[in-house]
Order: sequence, then structure tokens, then C-alpha cells
Amino acid sequence: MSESDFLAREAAAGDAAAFGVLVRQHQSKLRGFLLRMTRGNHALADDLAQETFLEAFRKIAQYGTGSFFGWLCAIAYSRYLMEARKRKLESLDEATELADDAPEAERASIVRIDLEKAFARLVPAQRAALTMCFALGMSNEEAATALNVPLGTLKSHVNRGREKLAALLDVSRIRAVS
Amino acid sequence: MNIDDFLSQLPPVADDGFSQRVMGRVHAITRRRMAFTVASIAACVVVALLILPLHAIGAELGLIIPQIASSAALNLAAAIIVVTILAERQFARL
Repeated sequence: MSESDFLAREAAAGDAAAFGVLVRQHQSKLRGFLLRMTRGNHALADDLAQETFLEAFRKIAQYGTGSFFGWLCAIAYSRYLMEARKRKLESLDEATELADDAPEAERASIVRIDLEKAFARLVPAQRAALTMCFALGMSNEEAATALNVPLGTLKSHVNRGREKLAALLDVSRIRAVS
Repeated sequence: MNIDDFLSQLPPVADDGFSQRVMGRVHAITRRRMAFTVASIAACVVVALLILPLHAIGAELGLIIPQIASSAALNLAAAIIVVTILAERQFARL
């Protein structure tokens, strides 16, 4: 049993302090994930992260075994989709620019800006799949479970997202040169 | 920076009181749950006190308890339960 599983069991038995440890352990990665999903909108990412943790606390007894962080990501992704639909943040295939309140540090490098902008133009499922599989180190199975899609669909999101990212970068470089 | 570097990096996000804010709301949920549980139990007790014929139950218990206390079979069963619990505790220490 992993430490997170043990803490989740303690939290389910009513130990709020154990849940506090889980929050501190996972907040950075979860907020980072949501920051990528919201294209750098810190306020929205933090709101969603907070709601995700509260929903996790309410439903902690439903958590079985496996990856606690994967379970959190599943809640976060579903919250993000609900919020995106509610606020009409994006249609699922809309291309938009990076949020204005992206941190300055992330804008320091021109290449990084290109990457951020290109990444922001991917559809949410592709952004989520790429972040989970590459940045968060989740296995394909864990990511597929978190996104509630079959394994083949997850792999397709990863491959198409990566190809689209490369294509968008090429276009932006050609534009910069011309 | 290439695509692989970008994808594999997720800049760490400083806590900056985030965990405290979450736990503040978690404690509020816990307090609400506790208040609801206490209120539910209190409501059930009040309803039970209003509905149940407490005098009749008390009179019945007054008759039954002395009979139970003087029953050899029930005393033997109680003794077996006590001995079993004590033995289980002793074995657990080993």
C-alpha cells in the first residue's frame, strides 16, 4: 500500500489531518496540471484545484486502490470540463491564444512562449493526455482511467497532440522568419 | 527548449497558503457534518421519547432484569464472553 493510499484510508476514517497531508503532497502537481488545462489562468486553476480537493474529501470513502493522484486528476479534469462548458471558455476544438495573466517567468523565453501558445491551441483532451503522460509521469493506463477514455483513445490523443504541437511550432517559426 | 523538454516539465507551484485555505473549507465541511449528525440524533431521541411508552417499558425492565441476573445459563454465557475477550487480548500481546 502506498503512502497516499494509507493517508486516504485514514482520511476516510475521519482523520482530517491525514487529508491535509495529501493536500500538501499533491497540490503543486495538481495546480500545475490545471494551470496547463486553463492555459495559464492562475485564479481559475486555483479555484478548480480547491474544488477538486473538496470533492475528493467528500468522496474519499469511494477511493479504492491504485493511484490517488490519478483519482484526483480524474476529478480535476471532469471539473475543468464542467467549468469550461459553463463559462464557455472554449469549444472542444477551438484555437485561442494564451491567457493574459500567464506568469512573467514563463514568458521569459521566446521559445517557451511559442510552446505555451502552441500547447494552448490543443484541444483539452490532448492537453490533459500530454500533461499526464509526460509531465506527471502517469502510465498510459492511469491517464486513460483519469480521462475516462479507452487506452487506444488516450494513445491517439497523445500522438495527435504531439504532432499538432510540432506542426504549430513549425508554422510559428516560419511566420517569425518571414 | 524542444517539445520533449517542454512536455516533460511542469513548473512547481508554491503553496502560498493554498493548503491552508483548502483545509479551512474541509474543517467547515467536517463541522457541518458533525452538526447534522448531532441534530439528527437529538431529533431521533426526542421523537423516541414522545412516541415510546417509557413507563410501561421501565416496568417491564424492572421485572425482567432480576430474572436475567438470577439465570445460571445467562451468567455462564456472560462469563464465557468475558474470558474469551481477556484471552484474545493476552494472545494479541504475544
